[in-house]
Amino acid sequence: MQKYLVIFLLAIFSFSCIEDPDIQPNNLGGNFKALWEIIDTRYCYLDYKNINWDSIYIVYHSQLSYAKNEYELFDLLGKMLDELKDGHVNLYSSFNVSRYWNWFTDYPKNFNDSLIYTDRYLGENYRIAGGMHYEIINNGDIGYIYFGDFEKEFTDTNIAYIFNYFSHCKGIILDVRNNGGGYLSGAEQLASYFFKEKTLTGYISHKTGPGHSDFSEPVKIYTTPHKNLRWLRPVVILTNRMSYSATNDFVNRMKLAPYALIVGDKTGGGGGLPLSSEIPNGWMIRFSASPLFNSKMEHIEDGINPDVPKNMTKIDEMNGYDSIIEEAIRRIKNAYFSMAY
Amino acid sequence: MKRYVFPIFLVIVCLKVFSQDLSSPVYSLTTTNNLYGVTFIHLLDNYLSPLTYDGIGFRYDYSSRKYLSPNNLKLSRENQFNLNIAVTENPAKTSNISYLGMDYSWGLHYHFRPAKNVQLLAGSLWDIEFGLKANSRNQNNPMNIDLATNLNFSGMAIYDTRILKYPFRFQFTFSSPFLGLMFIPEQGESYYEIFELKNYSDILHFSSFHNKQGFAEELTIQVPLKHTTWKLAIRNDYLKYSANEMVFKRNDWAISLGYVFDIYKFAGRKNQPPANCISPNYK
Repeated sequence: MQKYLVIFLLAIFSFSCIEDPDIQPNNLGGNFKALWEIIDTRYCYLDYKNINWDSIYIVYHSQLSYAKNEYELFDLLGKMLDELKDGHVNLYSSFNVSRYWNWFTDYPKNFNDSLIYTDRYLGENYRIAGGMHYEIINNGDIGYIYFGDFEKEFTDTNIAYIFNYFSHCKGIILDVRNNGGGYLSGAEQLASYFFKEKTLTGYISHKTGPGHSDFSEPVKIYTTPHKNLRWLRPVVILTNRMSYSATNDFVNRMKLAPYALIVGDKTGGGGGLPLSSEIPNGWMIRFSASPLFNSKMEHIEDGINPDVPKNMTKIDEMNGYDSIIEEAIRRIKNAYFSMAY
Repeated sequence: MKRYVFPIFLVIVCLKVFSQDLSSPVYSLTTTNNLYGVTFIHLLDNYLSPLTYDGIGFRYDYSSRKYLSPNNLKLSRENQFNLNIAVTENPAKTSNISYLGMDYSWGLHYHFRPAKNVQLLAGSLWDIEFGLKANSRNQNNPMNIDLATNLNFSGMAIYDTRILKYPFRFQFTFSSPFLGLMFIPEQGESYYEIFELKNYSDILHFSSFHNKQGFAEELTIQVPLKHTTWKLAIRNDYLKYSANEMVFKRNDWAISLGYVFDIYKFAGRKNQPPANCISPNYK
């Protein structure tokens, strides 16, 4: 009987163990602190980017008293988030979205979305499948695909038709400039059509605790070739600074594809998988939570360098040429790749 | 002797198919309850948000009870199923979480009859629960799954009485989980990493009083009218659990109305209905 009583009392004692988490009050100070703490405990690049988040608290908290309304509070919090220099960090209110765009605004555009629809490239009667705009260019021997959004979903059937249409082409140009990202699964699926064998192409880890260095063991990311749909001929990927997020992941995988070449400008980066949370006034915060790495365990947050750096020139543009596409055509025609097909 | 019977309910007893002697005057009927109600729900899911969400929803409860043997009124088996659908909002009303929850439990109770018209049931229920919470505003963590299995203490007090000329049954039910297993991902881990990259580390957690505290209590009033036995229920569920430095809460209060009836199952070759029972299945 005494034994049962001890067990019962231990059970009752255990009932007091789960503490409610602290929730900040819904006022200026509470919302500021809640946002600062979310980044402090859950943002994954504070150490990598050498950001002194404690100092940033002091600097911006001192300005809090000047915020007279929700708009000024939003602007202050947005400026604080800009210190992270991360395109995956946004504060969403009912009237505005804060953003950091310097990862592409500080660099040449290297893309002209009117030029790619001229007769030299896609023309007016291009085909559309699964969000891809495609056509045969350069007198019939090169396939060109513009894919601008990894939020658009495509199927194996879409790709089969595209590859079939290009079946007599020497190579494909796959243009992902100005593709700001979307579904990571789409990046993996698109890359799978260009690999011969299962290849280790990267790693991912995630925060396991509130400390700036509390990370899980990295998990390997493989690109597995599609079981029956593959393009094993030259493929040139075109990139610019607005190739971001899932596009950055796609380019990272394609760096290791056997017949791929990356031409253009460095990608914009965006190597942190973002998650969401919110602060007491209901504003949502999106932030990088899980860092992605390349196959050498190097961060890809700052972007991926092309194999062939190339910028568009004004003279070419004025004459109706996209310098980066032209470079890709040259590379395919000159058989840059040493492979047999 | 009676004090040794109760602990046995921690072990699940396999169902035994009774071969009924149809000429026997004693049948073990199954009493079923179907209740439909409105629920007021309070959610906290740290994987989706640090804020609590409140809302309203619909609840359906099914339960059935049957004595294991018509000749032994001390042991009964119990099945329960409930379904909960609700929409909740954060305090600022800028975001909502849609909730779908289901729970199935099975167990045994021992019946004590300390006084006339009073029954006390004590036993255990094993349950499996599944829930889905979706916050469409979130990116890459737009939903979280509740998946757990528990052993629960279960107790009931039943009082039968007559008010005016009607037989009323008042029943109070209480249950609480004491042992189980639950799925809780790490706060910074996306479902992409768990299910696409198959990183299953630290997602399953043993649960007991130290990290899972909860109870479900229900008061019902049952009265048979001319052709239907009606049941009114008021229910209060409280659940709080934590793992991976996150806290989760689900509290709901529901008021339900439903009906009760008894059934006997005829099925198969060995348990066909007697001649005076006409069934489209046989004629």
